Amino acid sequence: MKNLKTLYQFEMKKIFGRKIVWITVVIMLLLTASTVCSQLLGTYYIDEKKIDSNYAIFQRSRTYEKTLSGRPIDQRLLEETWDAYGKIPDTSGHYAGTKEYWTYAFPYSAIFVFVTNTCDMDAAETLNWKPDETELYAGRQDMLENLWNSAYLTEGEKEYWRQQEMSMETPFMYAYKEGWWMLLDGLYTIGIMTLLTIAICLSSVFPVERARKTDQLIFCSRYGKRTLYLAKILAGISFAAGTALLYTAAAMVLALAVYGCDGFGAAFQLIYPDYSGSISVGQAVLISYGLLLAAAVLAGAFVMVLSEILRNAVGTLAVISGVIILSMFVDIPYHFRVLAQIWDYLPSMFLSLWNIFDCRLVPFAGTYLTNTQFVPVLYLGMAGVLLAGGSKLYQRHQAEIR
Amino acid sequence: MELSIDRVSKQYRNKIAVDRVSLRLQKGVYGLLGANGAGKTTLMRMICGILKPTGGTIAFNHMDVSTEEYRAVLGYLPQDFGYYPEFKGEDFLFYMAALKGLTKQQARQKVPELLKLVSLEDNGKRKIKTYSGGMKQRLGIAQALLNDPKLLVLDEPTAGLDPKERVRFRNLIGELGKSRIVLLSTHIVSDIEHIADTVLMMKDGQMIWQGKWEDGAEDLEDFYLRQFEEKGRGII
Repeated sequence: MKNLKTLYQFEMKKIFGRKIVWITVVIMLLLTASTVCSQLLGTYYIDEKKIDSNYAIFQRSRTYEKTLSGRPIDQRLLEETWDAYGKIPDTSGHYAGTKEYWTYAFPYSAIFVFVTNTCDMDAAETLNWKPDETELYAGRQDMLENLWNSAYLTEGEKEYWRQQEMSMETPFMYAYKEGWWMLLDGLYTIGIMTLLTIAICLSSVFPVERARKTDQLIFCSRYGKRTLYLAKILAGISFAAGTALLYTAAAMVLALAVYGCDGFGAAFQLIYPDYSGSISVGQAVLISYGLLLAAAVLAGAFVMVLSEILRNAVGTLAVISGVIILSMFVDIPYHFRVLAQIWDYLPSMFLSLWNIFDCRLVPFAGTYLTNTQFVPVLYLGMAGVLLAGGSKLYQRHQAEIR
Repeated sequence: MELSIDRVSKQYRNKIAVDRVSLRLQKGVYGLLGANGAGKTTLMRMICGILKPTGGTIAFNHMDVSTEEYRAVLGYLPQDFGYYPEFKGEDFLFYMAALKGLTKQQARQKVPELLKLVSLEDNGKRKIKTYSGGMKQRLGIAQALLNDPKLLVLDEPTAGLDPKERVRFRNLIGELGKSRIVLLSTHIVSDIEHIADTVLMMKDGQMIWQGKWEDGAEDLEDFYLRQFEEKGRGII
């Protein structure tokens, strides 16, 4: 299309010409940095008693975890861990305040936490647990079966996950993976920040022409309809994708610089034992942030089309903010299976570890698709449909006298 | 070269803004007179394709108003419109040139020419937000001429211009009318008296008078006022 590139460049200039865009991006980048580094700030207290700075505790923890890296979580390591925890005097659960915990048990706390999460126990139950490798991995199977039942999976879905479980190797090999974990842990916050940035910066792409009365000039120009719509959409989508990539890059650079790049190939189950697929922690990070990119594209398309429908930037921003806030407070119970699953596909809900790697599947052509397979197609397909509908709406635009 | 307007109407819920207007315009300058709310701007917007008529058709050399080809030969200066304050004057013209289908090379040639024509050659690199009202109006005139339009629609083109600039633009419009159709609306009767080959008068959405205005004939302002005092319609 003739002049598309030139018009695209001007549309980008219009977006970046607004101060609010720069202010929003700078604030969100600072929040991204604080999301990634928040656990290093401040002081660690137990029962109002100062233990140490969070940063000092992190450094110790990292040293211990790196010592454990490369060791299988097997009978030997479990026994070592429980021997260490056995040195803690009986404190009715307040063991973290004891000297023995910090001297003997803390070096093994990563393994202790892994067992607690994997067997779905609380700390007191884990303390009383007898170390048994077989029981640990069998306990994980029980935990998964319970999870699948509570998620109202069909027998076909359960069978799908059982097959996935069979392809996984145990015992898991322990690895220090804090950098990658921080990226997965911060995904929800970074996702919300991306959606808010897109809503703030793109909600005026179309309404501003009407507000400034430049629509009269645009719509009587040769390329003011189809080509300009495409240029605006391309600029908006590039901005949305660029925002996701910028925040992702900022988070990755910071997380990996501060916490280290170790553990890319570690089993994902070390972080999230609820998942049955055979993927690594690093792969999970790349998949998650790839989904953030797809969500940003959908959000960009949605914001722009909604703003064209409402013809009002503030109204659009209000709707998007409302949806984000609503998604924080409304949780549809699992027994409304279809409704709950659809609700969780909302980008403001979906961009979290537990939804991306959720066990609920989508039946498709005699097989099943996981969320990581289905959602990118859903998001990009919906963005395409929205933009096609938006185009029809835009072509019908009239410059009414106001 | 002919602009054909055939029984064009625009009706809002309780109001007929333009009522079955039919015109055939050939090369020359057409001055459209009418009181506020007479339907001048609505008619011009429909001629420019940015407002859809409720009924009737508009075509230039048999090209329908809704087509890209029609828009390619159109230049429009709206009565009240905005700019991109963050753009420099020349950025705005380059943007409009791209919208109007000029190549980069054509735009690079045309933009300085037009900035000079509207006496903004020293201000092209300044941001539009620093422009005065008159400078913005001149920039608007420049953008309307970017694609060398065959059909030029100017809604109150001399509004905001100082007397010297007004005279200069009257002459420019007269020149432009020699090779294209220029339709301009204004409240200033003397503007039309000096440059319009044909005068069109609108009242309550209807075209109440159209015809040549000869030099030395009755004073146009007196005639104009008399038309609006008359109760009857269909003087044409």
